[in-house]
Order: sequence, then structure tokens, then C-alpha cells
Amino acid sequence: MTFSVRVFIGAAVLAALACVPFVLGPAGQGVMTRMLIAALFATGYNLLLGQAGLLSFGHAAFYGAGAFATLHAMIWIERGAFYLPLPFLPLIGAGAGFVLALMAGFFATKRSGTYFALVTLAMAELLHVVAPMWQSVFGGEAGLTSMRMPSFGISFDSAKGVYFLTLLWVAIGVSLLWYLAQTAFGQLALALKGNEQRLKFLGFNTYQTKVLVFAISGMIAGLAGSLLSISTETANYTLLSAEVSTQVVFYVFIGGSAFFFGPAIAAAALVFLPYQLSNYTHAWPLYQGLFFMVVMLSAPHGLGGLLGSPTEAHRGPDRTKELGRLLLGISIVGAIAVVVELALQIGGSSAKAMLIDNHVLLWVFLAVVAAITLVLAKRMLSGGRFVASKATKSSQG
Amino acid sequence: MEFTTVSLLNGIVYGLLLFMVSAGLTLIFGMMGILNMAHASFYMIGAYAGYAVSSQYSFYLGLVVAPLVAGFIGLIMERYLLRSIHEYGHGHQLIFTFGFAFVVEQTIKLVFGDYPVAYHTPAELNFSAFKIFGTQFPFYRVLIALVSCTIFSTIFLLLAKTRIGLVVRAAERLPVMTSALGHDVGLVFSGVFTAGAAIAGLAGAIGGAYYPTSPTMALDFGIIVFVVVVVGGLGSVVGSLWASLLIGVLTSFVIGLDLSIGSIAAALGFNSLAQELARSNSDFSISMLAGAVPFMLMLAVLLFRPMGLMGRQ
Repeated sequence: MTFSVRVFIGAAVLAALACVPFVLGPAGQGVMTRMLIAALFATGYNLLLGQAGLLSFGHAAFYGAGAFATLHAMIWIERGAFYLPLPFLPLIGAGAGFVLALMAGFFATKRSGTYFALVTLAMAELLHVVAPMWQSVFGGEAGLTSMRMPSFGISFDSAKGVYFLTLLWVAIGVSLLWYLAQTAFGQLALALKGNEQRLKFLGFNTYQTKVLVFAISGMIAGLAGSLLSISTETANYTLLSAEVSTQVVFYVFIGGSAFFFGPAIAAAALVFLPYQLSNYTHAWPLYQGLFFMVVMLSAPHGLGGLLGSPTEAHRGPDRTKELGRLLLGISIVGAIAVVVELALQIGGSSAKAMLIDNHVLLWVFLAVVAAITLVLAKRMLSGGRFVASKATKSSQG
Repeated sequence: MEFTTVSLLNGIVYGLLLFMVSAGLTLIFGMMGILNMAHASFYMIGAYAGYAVSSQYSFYLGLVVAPLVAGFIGLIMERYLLRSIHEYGHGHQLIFTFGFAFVVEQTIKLVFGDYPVAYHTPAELNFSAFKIFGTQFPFYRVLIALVSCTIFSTIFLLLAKTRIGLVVRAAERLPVMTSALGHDVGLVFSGVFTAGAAIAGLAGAIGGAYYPTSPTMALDFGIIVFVVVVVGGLGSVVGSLWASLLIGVLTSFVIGLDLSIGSIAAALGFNSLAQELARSNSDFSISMLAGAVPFMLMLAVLLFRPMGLMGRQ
């Protein structure tokens, strides 16, 4: 694809997204806002994971930092302590994410691989544990609340205003990341994933690059958190939880880190589906968990990897095989879903009581689960033979 | 004196329970390098299996069945599922095992309900072992400690003194060489994973009867077991024991301390800071930071001594 074609496609997508508020109601716009924020968060995180190859478990810290910083700014504006038009508030969140990530990255990138992941996890968890106690900064357990103030003659009191503000900043953030990937710095980050040792020999300061990549991805996380807090007008300590950190890892791995828009699309889908399906079933997390397992087993490069990736040698026949296995896996998840939903419909809560009180049923249930697992496992397996060298490679990674 | 002794005892018992839960992960993650985020799920599987069996038959049969169920699920997971994504590294293992943790939690919610279940210790074990400073110390806590110590010595002796342990350690250090010498490395990996899951299952059956058994119990332990393994040093069983005890005792002392940030500041002479804290309503008790202790410990270890307390470089 030439540059002009890409710009055209980008503009078309943006135009389509801009039309959304005229089609959907306020609730739909709210969901769309969440989807855009998740897409931005995932794309920013993928700069770190997909390009630099650094797996962070602690991005909730920067997401939360952006949200809390923005909310403090909103509170000050409300009190009249200082003034900044609402559309520029995300800059504060991005700045907070950047500064915190710069400080965290300074320590975390001294370690690599699993240790890096664990340092980031520990930092984010520390914040998560302290936040509910720290009244003045995080508002305690209840968190902080404020109001969006009108600026530039726009009241921002409707979902539509917030949606356009979010869309604008998401477009800016994603374009920035796209541009960054094309620059020499982006290539350097990519080389970091390839062979750090060789980069050092070539005279590059890899430590500096890693800290900067970490800080930029923290900045985007802060921007996303900021947009979230503007749309909800609240922020509390749950934004800092490990759940948020892992959610973004899911987006990237399911979407496929080698494909630039893969994580964004997966993020949007994974935010959209629960909203839609929670009306019909409360067992959604079960299917989601099964889906994650199926994707990892059948399409290890993520769903984006099925479309082909520019960076990895990934041949056509492999992709067809992966797609076949993915479809098989999804149909197995679908079959399990049908069985579970039927059981819930017929039995309801008494089915649960029956399963527990009548121990024969419990064992039948366990046997069925085990049998399904076995069948699923056998089917999904192309070649499960253990190759020792592979194990060594990844255990040292 | 009373505070010190009681805190120490409680901390040691909690630490030993923590060791039981994380001992399997020391083998799975520490030795074999499999990032199993679902390890605490095996603890939960064990607790619910123990509950299901004890509600029908007996508590003691539950103690036998729970590790079998957890071990069986672990075996299937490693042999047929996890192994095929091994070559892609830690990220894939993370997503896969997290997916599995979701599945376990939701399945348990669907079958046993969203709320804690009535899984209790049998009546004949509800007596006090000894009396200390006027309070009874339950025998069951002593039992938890004893079982944990037994598990520790079994793993330690098995790894250090037997031929099985020799092959396991060899398979972990140099898999290619070990398989070239005629040992089935795949079998070793399956065996270690199964054993790790089974130990977590046993811990669930024992611990779940004393502490609450609810669908969130895996989440509560999910990250802290990693802290234990990392602080102790990857692959070091002795290190894990020390780390568990350290976390248990430190947490127990911090919870018991009747100090606030403001009072510490005042004691150190920072009176204005203490007043400022009180004024801005941001003074809080040290005990509320108990949850942060493991993470501070992990951060300190990762930054200053990344090989852990007893790990190899």
C-alpha cells in the first residue's frame, strides 16, 4: 500500500467514526467512547510489547496516573484555582503518565524478560494497595469526582461532546504512534526486540531507548486514562488494579502484536462484546476465558497474525491451518456455551443445588468437563511432541 | 512480649500456608520457567474439591481427592495444552493460563454459586493445641504448619537426595543433554507440573477449611504466590520457605502495629508534617499497609538482589 492509500483509508475510518453519534443513541456513544479509549491504550501498549518486545504487567499505574491527574485538574478548574479548556485536559493526563513511566522505566528497564514484567507488576500493585488509603491524592476508597466544565462555547454535557473529544485525541495518539513506528527511533525500538546485544555493539544506547519507549507507552496509557476520567467524571483506585494491566496485555496478544491495528481492533471488540452479551448471559467471562485459550492455542500470532504480518516470516499455508484450528476452537467454545446456557435455563439455581446435593451428578459433571477438555485438547493438537530445545530457549528468555 | 509472640505465631502459620500454596509454583515457574498465572486456581480447585467430597463423604477423603483432582487437571493442561505454546514464550503462557483462571473461576461460580461455601474443619479437630497469654491456640493451625513442613521436607529431600531429583534438576538445567542421556524430559515436565498442581490442591483442601472458601480465593493468592517465588529465588525451595515465612511474619507484625504515619512523624520530630497529615485527613494507620508489604519486598529484591534470597545467579 502506498502512503496516499493509507492516508485515504485512515481518513475514511475517521469519517465513519465521526458519523457514529448521528446513528447511535447516548448509550451507544458511551460504549463507543470506551472502545476508542481501550483501542488507544492497546496501541500505546503495543509500542512497548510489539516493537520493543518488553512485556509490562503494570500499565494500570500509568493509566490510573493519567486519570487521577486529569481529575485533580478538573477539580482545580471547578474551584477556579487555574484554567485550562477541557479539550486540552488530556495533555495533563498524558504528561502524568509520561513522568511516572519515565521514573518507573528508569528502574524497571534495568531488568529484562520476566524480571522486567515482575518489577512493573510490583510497582503497579504497590500503587493499587496504597491508593485506597491515601485520601488527599487518590480520594481514598471512594475516589475523586468532578464535573466537566464548558469551554469554547461547547458545554460537553452530552455523550456526543465527550465522544468527539475522545475521537480527536485517540486519532492524535494513534497517528503519533503510527508516525513513531516509521521513524528511525521506531526502527531502533524494533531492533531492540530483535537483538539487543548487536545494537549495543553498534554503539546505540539501548538502556536510554528502552526507558524512552517505556515512557512514551506510559504517556499514551496516561492519555487513555485521562480520556476515561473525562468521560466518567470519576477516578478511583480500581483503575490501578492488576486487572487493568492484564486486560491490555490480552488486547495486544489477542489482536496480534505484529499488526499495528490488531490490538486496537481486539480492544474495541473485547469492550463491545461484554456490553452486548451481558444482557443475555452472566457466564460471559467463562466463554471469554475459553476464547483466550483457543486463540493462544490455534493462532499464536493473534487474530492480526491471520491477516499476515509485515515483520514476521509467516507463510500462507500456516495461516490457513491456523484459521482452520481457530474456527474449530471457536465452534467448540460455542458448543460449550450452548450446553451451559441450556443447563442454566432448565435448572436455574436448582441445577446448582442438585449438582452439589446429589454427588453422582457432581461426578458426572466433572467427567463431562474432563472429557470435553480431552477432546478439545486432542483436536487442537497438531504436534504435541516435546522438543527440548524449544523449552530451553523460552525458559531462558 | 505478648504481641511479639502472638504475631510471630500467626505470621509463621500464615507463612507456612503461603509456602504450601506457592511450593508448586516454585517447581513450575521457578524451575521449569512456565509462567503459570493459574497456579492459585489449582489451590481453589483443591478447596472446592475438598468441600464437595467432605459435604458428601468425609473431610479426610477430601484431603486425598483434592490433590488428585488438581493434579489431574494440571496434567491435562500441561501435557495437551500448555506444551504446544511453550515455544512462544511467557506472554502466550500468561494469556493462556489467565484464560484458564477465568474458566475455573466462572465454572466454580456456576456450580457452587457466587458466595463462600460452608467448608469447615471437622469437629474432632476443633480443639486448642495450647494456651498462650490466656488465648487458645487452635490445633488446626498447628496442623497446617505441620503439613506444610512435611511438604517442604518431602520436596527438599526428593530433589536433593534422590535419583528422581537428580534427573529433574538435570532436565531443568540442560534439557537437551538430559534427553540425549536417555531420560524422557517431557515426562519430567509433566510430572513436575502435575506434582506442583497437586500440592496446591492439597493446600486448598487444608487451607480452605480454615480460611474462607469462595470464588475469589484464587484472585487473593494469584499474585502473592509469584512474590514468594521471586523473593525466594527462582527454583529454590528453601528460598521459597524463607520468603513465605518473611512475608507471613512481616505482614502479621504490620497488621498488629498500632501506629499511624502521623504518630511516627511526630515521634521523629516532624511535628509540622504530623499536623499537616492530620489536617488534610491523609493520616492513616500503618496496619492498612499490610497488603503492600509483599510488593515492597518483591520490588526491593528485584532491584537489589534479582536472584532472590537463595537463588542462583
